[in-house]
Amino acid sequence: MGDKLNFAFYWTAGCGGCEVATLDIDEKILDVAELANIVLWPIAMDFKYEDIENMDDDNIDVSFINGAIRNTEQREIAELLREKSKVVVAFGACACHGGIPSLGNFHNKDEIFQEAYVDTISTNNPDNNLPTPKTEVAEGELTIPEFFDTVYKLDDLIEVEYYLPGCPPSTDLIIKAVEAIANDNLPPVGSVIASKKTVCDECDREKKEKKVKEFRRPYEVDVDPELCLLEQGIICCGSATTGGCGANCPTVNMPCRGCYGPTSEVADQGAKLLSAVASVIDSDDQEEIAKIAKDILDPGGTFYRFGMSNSLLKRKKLG
Amino acid sequence: MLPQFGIEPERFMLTWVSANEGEKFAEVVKDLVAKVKLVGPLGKVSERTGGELIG
Repeated sequence: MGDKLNFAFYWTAGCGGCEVATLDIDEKILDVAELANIVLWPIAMDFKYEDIENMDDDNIDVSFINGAIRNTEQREIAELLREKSKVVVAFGACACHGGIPSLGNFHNKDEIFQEAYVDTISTNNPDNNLPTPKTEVAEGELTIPEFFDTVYKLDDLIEVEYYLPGCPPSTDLIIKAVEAIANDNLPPVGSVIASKKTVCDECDREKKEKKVKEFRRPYEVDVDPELCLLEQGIICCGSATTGGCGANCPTVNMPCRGCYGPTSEVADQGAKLLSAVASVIDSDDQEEIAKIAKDILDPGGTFYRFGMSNSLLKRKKLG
Repeated sequence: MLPQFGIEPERFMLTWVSANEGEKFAEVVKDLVAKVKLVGPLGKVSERTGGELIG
């Protein structure tokens, strides 16, 4: 036990893909076990929050937290891990930028509850019961975590030392991060463990002149495997997105969705993407431009798919 | 995309003004300022997230 590091893994508002990605490092997971004691990993091992509460501050060397923060329990555990950890790594798109859950920022709590617990076709809820933080029963008061109107990225709540972006982060980058920890060779605090360049920079597709008369979704196109996807009218987010993934998606004919977040040069990923896409529209006629732009069914969700919490506006205006 | 963010259409304007149309430029800006004043402040990020940062 003595010389080993202490690692904690925690999962907040996310899908669990980051946990799978951690296991996807295959036999390297044995190196992790060699390097560190796992002190918290709810998906894999049985620990209690109390075990963490009873620790001294800074007892955990590194906490890897995946997921965004959208309720009081997630906030509480994130704050607890911060208190007990020397280093916190925002692991994956949700912790770094809000991720898919942050699309909830185009709505508010009431709208989300209405959709999830009342309006969905598969829901049978004639009394319109909605989650309530406190319920009185004969035995006493029952409580569940309180849901927020807004989905937050991890560093909106706690200080974060390193960012490992991606949905999920690539196994190569996870290994790189673990090796950096093992060799005590970590980059400056605040670093994003990914490429400094864009996905386009890592993409081998041929780039010519971008002129688009029609935007189409991947299934509507017989994709040319050699040519830039944006030039084929498929909205690809590579130009404003941090690389490090090896351009996995464009390599298999799927456009980049932007999961690694903006590059360090970009303040607002969605605005930058909108600007890039607008600039390839091949028309000078207002009506035709409007018609072409209408092909983009959900611009907010397309350009801010993984990063509403990280956008300048953060969310839809409330009220 | 702006409606998805709940941003009123009055806040947005796209127009063309040549460098020698100073008077037109002033009018366009006055016009937009008047419209934006009518809809009021957009609200700070903390206000947009429910009055405080977390909630």
